[in-house]
Amino acid sequence: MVDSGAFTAWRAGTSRSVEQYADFLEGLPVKAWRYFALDVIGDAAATRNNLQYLVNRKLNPIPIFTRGEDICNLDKLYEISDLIGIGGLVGTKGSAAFINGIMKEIGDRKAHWLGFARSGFIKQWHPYSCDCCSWMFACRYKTLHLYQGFGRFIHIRKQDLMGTPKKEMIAAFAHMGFDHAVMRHEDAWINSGMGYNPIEQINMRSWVRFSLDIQSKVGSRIFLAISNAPEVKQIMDQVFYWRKHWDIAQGDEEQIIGIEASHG
Amino acid sequence: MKAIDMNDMPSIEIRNVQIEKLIPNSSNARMHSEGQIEAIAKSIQEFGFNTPILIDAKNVIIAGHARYAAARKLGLAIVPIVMLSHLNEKQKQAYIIADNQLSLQSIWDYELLNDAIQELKAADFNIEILGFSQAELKHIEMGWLAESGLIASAGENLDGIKGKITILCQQDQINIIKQIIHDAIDAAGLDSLRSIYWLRHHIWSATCLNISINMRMIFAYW
Repeated sequence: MVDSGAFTAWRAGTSRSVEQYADFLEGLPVKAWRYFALDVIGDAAATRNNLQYLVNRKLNPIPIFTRGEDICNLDKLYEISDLIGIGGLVGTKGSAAFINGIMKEIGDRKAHWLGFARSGFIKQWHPYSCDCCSWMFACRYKTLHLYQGFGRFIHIRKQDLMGTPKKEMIAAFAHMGFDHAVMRHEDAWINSGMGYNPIEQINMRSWVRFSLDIQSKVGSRIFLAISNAPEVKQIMDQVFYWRKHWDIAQGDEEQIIGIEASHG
Repeated sequence: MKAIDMNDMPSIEIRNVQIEKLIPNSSNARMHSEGQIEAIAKSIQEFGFNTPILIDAKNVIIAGHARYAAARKLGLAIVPIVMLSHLNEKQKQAYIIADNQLSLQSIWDYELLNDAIQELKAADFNIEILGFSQAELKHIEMGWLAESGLIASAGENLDGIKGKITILCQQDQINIIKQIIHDAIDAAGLDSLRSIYWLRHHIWSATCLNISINMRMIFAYW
């Protein structure tokens, strides 16, 4: 699954264009399973134009219904695709209310929530799929996202482990197969970007477990964003961990990895 | 995996000994909180001392330091032990670690767990003694049910994003940009808005992480 999000990140600070995105898609060494159109946050018209451009280039992207788009256009998007992306949800106020509103309109049709994977809403609406890069941000901001089951996480920062940690924290570590004492060392909190350190391993293991659990219990696919080879290794290490420690059906792991576009 | 024959294994015998004779292992790296000791003590009161303390031939504890501490807290004079005289020094050293670490590798099947807890609750059993916090019990009970309160509190609309601020700058300019934004926010008296925290947080993060040569920041504005 290729999303334009990481493409945007890759091109950070420079002008980006739908032409470059199309070139990128066409130049991928492996044919993408599916890929999204290039949305423009807060600009429905530009998002529409980008979709048209990609279609004209004989590409077959998943259209994106971005916040601000006329609801009348929703059905038109479903005429050209079985699945549409819901965009404009990241870092914006009112995204949860928008999810409630748009999912009522979408009904039982397939929707992918771009950058929105709050389990409370997933349990309510059962979207076809979601993606998120929370594990990356957790590492970047030196926070542990420890999966507790039922789609819920406990967030832990270094200061939370000073002194005697709370019981639920210790339990959450154990649930992920770690001892909380592993985070006592300063180096454990360093985001190497290569998956070497406990903060990276714990966050990725938690999010992979979340993804497997959501798919198994709710049916929604959670795509975890990755953008380079070390991140592929990180995610697969944890898939193998859960394969060993949990009865994961063969093939489930294929659903975990969302490849955000990268130039590598 | 190597086949084992139980006939080759040393037989173990549970005996009761005076707690004063037991010696905590000075090299035990496992730590136990006061809360955990308290919970184990309650468990012993409810269920009995069902898991013996493992000791060596010199009465030094190999496994069961938390149970030992809980027994002392309860004022028990005698505790059940198993003497592991077949382990050599290195094996003892390793077993102290392995006994703690191996137990971490199991996880709950929450559906079965919830079923069991609900049965105990229905029988008026005090489920607090199970070792879960109230928050954990609530999580287990709620399970995969949709959180209707959360959904309702979010509201419902099809509104678009009202606007956005895009800031493009070079990495070496970020401190200047950050200061300008902070000053502008303060001068405008906008501190009460949620967006300001978000804005500041992300600028701070970006600065500290030295993310890329060129910074591009998009902030939703409302």
